[in-house]
Amino acid sequence: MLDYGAMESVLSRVLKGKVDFADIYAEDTVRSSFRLDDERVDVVSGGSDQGVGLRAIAGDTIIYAHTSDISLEGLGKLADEALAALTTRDTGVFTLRLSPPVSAERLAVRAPNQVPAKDKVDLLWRADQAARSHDVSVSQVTASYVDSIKSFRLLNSIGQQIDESRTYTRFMVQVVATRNGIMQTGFEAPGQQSGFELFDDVSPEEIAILAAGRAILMLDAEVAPTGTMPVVLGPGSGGVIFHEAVGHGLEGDHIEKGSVYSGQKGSKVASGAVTLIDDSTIEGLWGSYRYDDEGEPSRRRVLIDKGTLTGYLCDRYWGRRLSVGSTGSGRRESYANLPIARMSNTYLQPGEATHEDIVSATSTGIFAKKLGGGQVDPQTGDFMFSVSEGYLIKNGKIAGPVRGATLTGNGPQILNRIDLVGNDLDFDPGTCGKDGQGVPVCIGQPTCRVTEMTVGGTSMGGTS
Amino acid sequence: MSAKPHWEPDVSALERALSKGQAAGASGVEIFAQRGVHREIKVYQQKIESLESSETVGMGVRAFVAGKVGYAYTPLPDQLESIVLKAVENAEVGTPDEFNELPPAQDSEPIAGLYREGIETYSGEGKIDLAMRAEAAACEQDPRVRGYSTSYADDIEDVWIVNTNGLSQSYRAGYAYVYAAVAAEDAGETQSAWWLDAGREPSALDPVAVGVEAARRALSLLGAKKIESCQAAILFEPLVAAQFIGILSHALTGESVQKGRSLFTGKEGEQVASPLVNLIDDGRLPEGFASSPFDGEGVPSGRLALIEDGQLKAFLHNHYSARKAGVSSTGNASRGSFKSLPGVSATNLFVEPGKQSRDELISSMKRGLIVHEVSGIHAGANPVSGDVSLGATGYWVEDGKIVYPVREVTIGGHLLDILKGIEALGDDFQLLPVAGSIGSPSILVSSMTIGGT
Repeated sequence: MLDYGAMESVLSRVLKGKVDFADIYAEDTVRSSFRLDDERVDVVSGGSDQGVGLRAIAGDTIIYAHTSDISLEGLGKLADEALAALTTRDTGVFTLRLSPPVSAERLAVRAPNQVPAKDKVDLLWRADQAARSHDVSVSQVTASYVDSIKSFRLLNSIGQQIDESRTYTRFMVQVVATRNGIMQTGFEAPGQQSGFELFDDVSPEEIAILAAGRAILMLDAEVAPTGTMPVVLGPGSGGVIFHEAVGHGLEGDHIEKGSVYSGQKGSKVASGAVTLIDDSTIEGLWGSYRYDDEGEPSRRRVLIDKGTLTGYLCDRYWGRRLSVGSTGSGRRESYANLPIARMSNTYLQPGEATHEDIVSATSTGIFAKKLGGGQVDPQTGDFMFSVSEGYLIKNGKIAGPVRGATLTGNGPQILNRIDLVGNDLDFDPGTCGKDGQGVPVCIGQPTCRVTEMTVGGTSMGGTS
Repeated sequence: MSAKPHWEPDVSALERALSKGQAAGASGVEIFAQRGVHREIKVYQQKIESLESSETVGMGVRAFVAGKVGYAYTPLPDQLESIVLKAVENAEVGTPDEFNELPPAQDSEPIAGLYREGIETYSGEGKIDLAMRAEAAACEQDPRVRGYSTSYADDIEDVWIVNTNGLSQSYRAGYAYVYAAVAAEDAGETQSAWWLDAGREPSALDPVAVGVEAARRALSLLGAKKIESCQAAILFEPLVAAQFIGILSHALTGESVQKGRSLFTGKEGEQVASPLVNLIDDGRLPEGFASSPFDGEGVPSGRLALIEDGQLKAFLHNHYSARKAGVSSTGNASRGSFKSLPGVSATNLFVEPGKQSRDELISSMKRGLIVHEVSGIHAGANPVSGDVSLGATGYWVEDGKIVYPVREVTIGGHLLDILKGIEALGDDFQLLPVAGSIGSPSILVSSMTIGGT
């Protein structure tokens, strides 16, 4: 890791220019990844990602330079690049008042770089075995394991010196099931901020069987109906609705530039059943951190309180432009990306109803048990997400499985149609992509119901 | 801002590292060295929002040991020998496979014009101006239009590959683009749209055209409404068609066929699409954004007809999948970066255009939807099952005329049905760095399911 002294000298050079804020972020991340596909271990890979990013903010302009060259020469060039872009290069001496360094390193119980490759590969074979023996229709299995230890060190013009490290471990199984020439897929991918101890709680066999079961279910499934109907969203991955319907729309840059939620703070934007939290402090969750990637401490943010919009998600830059300050939401994929306002672990606060109550209160509709990815246009609020495991609801009971469905809606409209909220909160890890960079996040919720959403099946017919 | 002139890794250090790998027991070693230089300027409301510049260097080593493969990578040149040893060590837990080997060394013909000096000699102020002009042009179209995110960016990439079969090749490629995302607002309704222009150097770009087109697209969506669910004809605009082709390309690799994940398994020689369809992959197009003289493992790139007159002719291969299939590599080994092993993917992939103008295609539609944008392509289009269900915005057509814009609907179907249901291709071909480097004209499909009210 780059030492503070070298970082300080680069920062001091840049601070001689006319700059309101500057920071330097050095990263050293090590990763290993393994894949078993078609009954062969065909990916065994490991490496490091190192580099440094230097940011200077002058008024509303951000200057950003980054490099993988962490030698003294490389750092010198970095400072030169930044200075070249500043209009005023030398306003004299700047005294950097440094606070004592803070270390927020989080070491795993079983650090992945201490675990032999053989043990990791072993998990893949166990998953492969379990999936293939689950059902004769299982035709292909891909099992992957990825771990990373991300360490960064940052120094900024307000004197903060922070070290943090985070360990991520993820296991993914994709199964293809084939019958009569038709193929369907099932996918399951748990992940935690932890080391190899993840596998004390998570069994590769269970994950493989979940993925295989999902693929087989889709072989048996009817095409989803098309039209507008009530939708019950399952716990955990169902939370993608909040990530898309409102999460992105509350990010500072979108609020400033024109989100469907701009100027709505204090207004009612959802039904009274909706309290939405974004909390980066929850131990072990995929989207958590001690400090964000700008040195702001982690915190719990109430975004919507019983239907009223109470908070935005801001990094330093957009927090200043909106005059609300940072909410500790400044995150970046790596040293090679600018920090921008992002979500962390975003979830709907649980209510009192049981999952069974909610289903039986729904005469017809869809139960979307597991959801895949989604997308939103924060300016219009129109969003969609896909259903990877869904069922028809008939007369308040779960009926046959359906496949190939997308759910679509408009954020504010959909939020106002959430009427029942369950007590079974769960979380699902994923990667959120924005501006060409991805950060680890969790989505979460208990079972909840939306009274009406558009379901896009792949053919006409079915319930209406 | 200045960039180094031509970059070279320390080639003798690379050669020494190859020998180190062999001495450690590898029968084959390959080193992929890459340098990327990137510049990006973002503007907002005619002020500079951000200026970004970067230089990233890295090396990845693939080691073949007794039929097994291991991989390791680093951004630090002085770590090269240590990652060679790490790659050899990683191979130990791999599965032996008779088809794991380095391709034989072949010389590749350079491609003229992949890199134009203009990217580096064009002034920084000039690049800022390109972004400013795109935003200004958009806002000048109509007082209801405002800029959301407008940028200029360029990339220069240097790639070197050496291996123990005697390969030692390199190339340099660059490209630049201007992108404008805008909003149109009227009576409380907001619609958004974007457009971009890309080329080999900044002087080849037309920022005003980008701004004008982005504004036109956003304005054309004002007044958009939902429609009733139905089955109807669909006209995909070129960039939307390109995204579908991108998803389809995953099913056209030898790897996906061999691993039982392709819709096209066993269909070589069969009619898989309408006879109008010619789908080509060409890694040597001078203006293609994915062009390179050789692929991710040093095999020369070329042109391959995948679908001809609707018949499936070939699959995309890297050396491994080609050996397994008993054919030659088609030069489609690809890497995301030095951090990954070569997989298989398309290079510049395109559907050849037809003869009818977009207006002629619209006039021929009795009833249907022009799809201007889809949402959720990575979640809602499954290249294994072929199921497609996506969010869509566009324009409803009746009796050959656009009647009103449409939002918040879904379109659904199956990839193979869509291919077979292609009724007409436009003459409005566009090749842009969207979803890789994919080109397509407008494509008219006879029927898909539209999900609405």
